[in-house]
Amino acid sequence: MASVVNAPPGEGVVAGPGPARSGWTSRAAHIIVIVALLAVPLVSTPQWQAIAVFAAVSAIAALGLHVLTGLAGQVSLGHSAFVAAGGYTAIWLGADKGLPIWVWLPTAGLVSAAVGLLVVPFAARLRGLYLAVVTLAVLFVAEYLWDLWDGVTGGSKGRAAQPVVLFGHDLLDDVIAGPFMLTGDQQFFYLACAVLAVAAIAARNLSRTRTGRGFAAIRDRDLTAGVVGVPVARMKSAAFAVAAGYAGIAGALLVSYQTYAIPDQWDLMLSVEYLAMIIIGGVGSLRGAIAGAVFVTAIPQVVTLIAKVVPGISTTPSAGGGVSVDVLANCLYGLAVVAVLVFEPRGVAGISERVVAAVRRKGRSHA
Amino acid sequence: MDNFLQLTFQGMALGCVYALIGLGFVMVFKSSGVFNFAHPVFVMISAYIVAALVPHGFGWGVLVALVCMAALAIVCEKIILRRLAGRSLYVVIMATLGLSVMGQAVVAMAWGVNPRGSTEGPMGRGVLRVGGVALPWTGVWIITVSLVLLAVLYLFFQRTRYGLALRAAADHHEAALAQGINMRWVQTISWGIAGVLAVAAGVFLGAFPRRVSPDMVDTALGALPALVIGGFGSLAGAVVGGMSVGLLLVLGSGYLAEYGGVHVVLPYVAMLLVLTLRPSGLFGHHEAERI
Repeated sequence: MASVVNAPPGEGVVAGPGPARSGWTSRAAHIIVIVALLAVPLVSTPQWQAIAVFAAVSAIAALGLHVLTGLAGQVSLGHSAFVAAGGYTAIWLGADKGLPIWVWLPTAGLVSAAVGLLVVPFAARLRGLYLAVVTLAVLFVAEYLWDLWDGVTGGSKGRAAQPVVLFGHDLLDDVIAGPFMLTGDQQFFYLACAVLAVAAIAARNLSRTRTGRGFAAIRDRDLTAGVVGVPVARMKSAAFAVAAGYAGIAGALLVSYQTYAIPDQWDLMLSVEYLAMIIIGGVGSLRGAIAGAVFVTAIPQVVTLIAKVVPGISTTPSAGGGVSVDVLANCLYGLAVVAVLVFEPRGVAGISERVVAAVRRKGRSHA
Repeated sequence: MDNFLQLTFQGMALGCVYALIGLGFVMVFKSSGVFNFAHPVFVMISAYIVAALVPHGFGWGVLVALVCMAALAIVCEKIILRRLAGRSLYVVIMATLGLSVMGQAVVAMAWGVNPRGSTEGPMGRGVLRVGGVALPWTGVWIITVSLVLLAVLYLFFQRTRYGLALRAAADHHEAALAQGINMRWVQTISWGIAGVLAVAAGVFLGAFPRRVSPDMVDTALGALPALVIGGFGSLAGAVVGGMSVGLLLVLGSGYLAEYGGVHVVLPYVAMLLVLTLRPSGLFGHHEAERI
């Protein structure tokens, strides 16, 4: 047990002669990493391009849960209902009314946020588990409504969604300029990333406002927050509205990228997937939410690659049983959620922090 | 009128199943503070095990399922959920949802997503005629066995030392520890009982709509509104809540068929109503909390 002695935790050994990282180099490093990540879809296969788009869109929805769960400490099992609300608003405005993206994208967020305010009468009276069960009820009622309301949703068969048209150009059409080609997926990826960037900056800034501090207070102990004057019910409702707004914008982009929407896709499983994203990324970490979205979205594709090497995994879903890619991917992400919660509650964010700290310690000991 | 009586009977049978599922949630919640979102999957897995073993004998199937599910529940508690004690609400919810996702995936690997045969076994498909009302034998069996199980549970809690220990542990964790009650043992027992209740519910749920399928998870989740309507934590609450949900589902599907699948959401709507009027459920009581 001697190893306990020579392993001082974390920041206790900063006094070494290693060069302190200035704000400038750290920012430059960040920019390089971000540019490198943004360039990935330019050189990847179509499958990975699609994954990149789905990851970026899901990350927007995951940011909503980041605000709700990570900042305000509330649990929502109904997130996919709000994604659907935004998606159907966008379909109604974009496809049925023929309005441009400048209208349907923000409106999708606003309408979904308004739907999110439906939990207000419950947020004031209920806490914790009861509130989580209410969000579950919202999900099931919404699922029923999507099936029934076929004027907008196309009923159980689903319907086509609106295209994204920017300056008269359908974003999913390939652009060819001389030797260069930008596929529809790549263009959509950059649009989604632009929206994601705005969403992420807004979420970060929100956490530093009075409202954000209020969220933190009710997360840490809602009774205490109420005693020191934080309007608990209003804060909870605001958190739900913001989360639903993010979900709505993600939903609008999602249906337009899919080019269709079916009521069956907005189920509990989708909600659990969004929750899994913020858990795997690390609850309370904004970058973690985005990393978690990439992780969860990429699992099926990674399993497909594994299936090429490992025998016994069928690549087509089978109704009769057996190990197939989609089922194995589900199993893996369930396992990832449980493993993260048990072994590293801070998720990918926590793991990367540990790695960075370890690398720095090593660098110092060599210097 | 006959139709109404028949539907009411079926609703009560389904209500008994929901009461059993709800009790599975409550057992675990009271003893370890974990709200086990994987319980519906336990119910589904036990139904699949019994359905797979029915050709070899119904009794064997139930026996194997009982052993497997009690073991599975205890293993989940010992390996995963014990380590999460005292953490935030979302941690426990997500851990059990993660288990649920894994469980559904494993079932899909083992048995596929197509519906399987039913688990009725010796309960048979016949009907018992009382006047003009046809009561399916499965329903009669479900109500009888559920009532017996509930009575046994009640006696266990009220009349035995072990039941007393479990009640004390649920009432006040630290006071129970100070009395020398072994909390690990208490939790193992409660998770084991929850596993056993899951088997009973699985067999009945697989026999009553005569279908064992992955949809059972969503069906079993209907015990959640039942619990909220009744209020967490009391046996009477679970039974009353389960009965209301069973009746709502069956009467709703009988009389509101023209509105699509509205009966599926009726329990949730009822739950929202109860929560607006009585936030801690019909039988729950509001607890003051120390800051």
